[in-house]
Amino acid sequence: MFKFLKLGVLKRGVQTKPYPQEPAVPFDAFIGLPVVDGAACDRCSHCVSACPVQAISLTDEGVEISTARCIFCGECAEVCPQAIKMSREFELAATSREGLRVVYRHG
Amino acid sequence: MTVEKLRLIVEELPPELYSKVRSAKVRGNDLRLVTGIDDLASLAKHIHGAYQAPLVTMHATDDRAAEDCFKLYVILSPKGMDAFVTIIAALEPRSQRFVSLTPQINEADWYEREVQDMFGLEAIGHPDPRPLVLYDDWPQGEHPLRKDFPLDRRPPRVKGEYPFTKVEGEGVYEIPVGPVHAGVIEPGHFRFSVAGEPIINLEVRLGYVHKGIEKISESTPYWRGTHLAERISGDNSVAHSTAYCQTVEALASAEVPERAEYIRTVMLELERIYNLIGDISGIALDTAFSVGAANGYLLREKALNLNECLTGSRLLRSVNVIGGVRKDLSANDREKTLSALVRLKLEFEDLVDLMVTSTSLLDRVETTGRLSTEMAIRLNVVGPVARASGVDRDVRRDHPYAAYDRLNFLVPRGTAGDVNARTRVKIDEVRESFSLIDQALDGMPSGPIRTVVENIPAGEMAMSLVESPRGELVHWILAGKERPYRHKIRDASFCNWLAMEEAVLGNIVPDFPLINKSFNLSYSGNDL
Repeated sequence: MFKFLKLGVLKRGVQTKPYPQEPAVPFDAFIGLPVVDGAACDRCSHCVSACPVQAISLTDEGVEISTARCIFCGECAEVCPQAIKMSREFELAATSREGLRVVYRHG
Repeated sequence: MTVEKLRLIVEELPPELYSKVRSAKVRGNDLRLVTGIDDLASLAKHIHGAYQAPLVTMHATDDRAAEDCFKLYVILSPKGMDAFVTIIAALEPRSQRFVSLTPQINEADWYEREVQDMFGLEAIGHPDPRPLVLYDDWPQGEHPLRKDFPLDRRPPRVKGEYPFTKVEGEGVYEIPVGPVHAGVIEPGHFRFSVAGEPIINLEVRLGYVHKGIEKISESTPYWRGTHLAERISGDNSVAHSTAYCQTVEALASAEVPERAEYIRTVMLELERIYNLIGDISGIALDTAFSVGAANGYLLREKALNLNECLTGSRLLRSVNVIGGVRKDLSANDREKTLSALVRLKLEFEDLVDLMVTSTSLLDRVETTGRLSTEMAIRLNVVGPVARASGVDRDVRRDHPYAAYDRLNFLVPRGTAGDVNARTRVKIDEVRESFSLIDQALDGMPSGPIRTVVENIPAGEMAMSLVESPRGELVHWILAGKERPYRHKIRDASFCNWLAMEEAVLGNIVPDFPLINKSFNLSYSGNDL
């Protein structure tokens, strides 16, 4: 009995977080959605060839990232530190395929 | 030293075998013997027996374009040496048959069945030539790893049925389980033959998550292969990517900076900690010891949080890169790790205390699912499962890589080979991992973390062994132009699944989930 108390609420306290009532903040190092700075992008397409899963495409609108394909490896941010950053955004669920397209417009 | 020992192996060959060796070369710590296909079995049997050398891997390559033949590679690891013996034998031109090694070397069983499926080469005299990887409705004559089988080919499906072993007798009945299971686990089919409660036969049928990773790798440039390797078995991503990177680095004869080796070691041990704590919690869960399980999973979550804090990825993805590691560990990271580990250690000891004093848990795990030492050796079982059955083998000590040769650790072993022994070995391994991380963080030199690896010569071959949380895994690459010509991957699970068929015999069906959890094998890593 004593053992159970030792490991129970008395010692550990509450271990869960009130998410989603309150926002969950990931660690600084967290690798989430790649974010493209449209103003800094010069359409060199290095990110497109660096992406191991073909998640990035250059369109007339700007740079399009498919969160359906992205594996959050960070290769794009490595080849293009001036325009691409791996953000800490992780709430990427969508209810349609169209919702998995993220477009960063130029300028 | 190693080179001399390897040369001695050639000199010690009996005259009748010596005359069959067409060439013998030592490359690094690898003795490469070329022989004729008809002498492969006897040569492999001699080295396997005389040097107690377990079979590391056996695979084929399709060299029909250049040499008009298939080739077989048998790689053995002589006991007590940080060295390997690779026996290479080319099949006769246009021939698709070879003499099976399995009657002589039992552990060749699944490797040869895999070669039969993927290359269409017939192993003559194999005791169980049924398909292993290819699914029941796969058509005859389609062999995915042949070079003339395009990556995007989708062969038409045909009607087919897998011939399961039938056990018949009064009161004997079959229980088919899977491939779709109740929990969110991977797919695999288990066919039990049961007399009353005890299991008298189990047949495991896998291959449902075959993804063609070896085939995909042949068309993937090296740098992209790291991402692929991380996804062979999702919870062993550092182990697989380390093995892959080390293989490519060996191909290019590149030296990885020492700091990167230490960081890899830290990551490999972090991976072991969260995996093994998960295993231990799973064992508590399957014995209906909910308090232990809840506390265990809480600890696992804390370990995952530490992973995320250090690397940005809970499952330690994108850690490795060919030539080193992607991200350095700052002084701040080091402090965070040390303080997190202090807490983890204390809480882990609480958990262990709770588990090993619980009579209801001990009652379920003791003498359950025994795997004898003889059987473990006969099947060449690897990792914690082997060590719990008394096999003294750990790649980190026997074939050191990363920074393991500069760190002190024990290789925990059990004797009983039951679920209890496997639990205890895993507990002790977590303790060793804590110590290894402490040592690695202390001894970590400063300096660069990455080097440029280029000019990977085509036609070279290299191999790397890594001790994953499940045991020894192997990556072997024959280099092609800027990508592997052939990439052979062998996960620890591939060696251990057959052992589970043995370990469950005589146990009651309700103990199967517990035995399965104590092995904790990967389906994805096995199926590739």
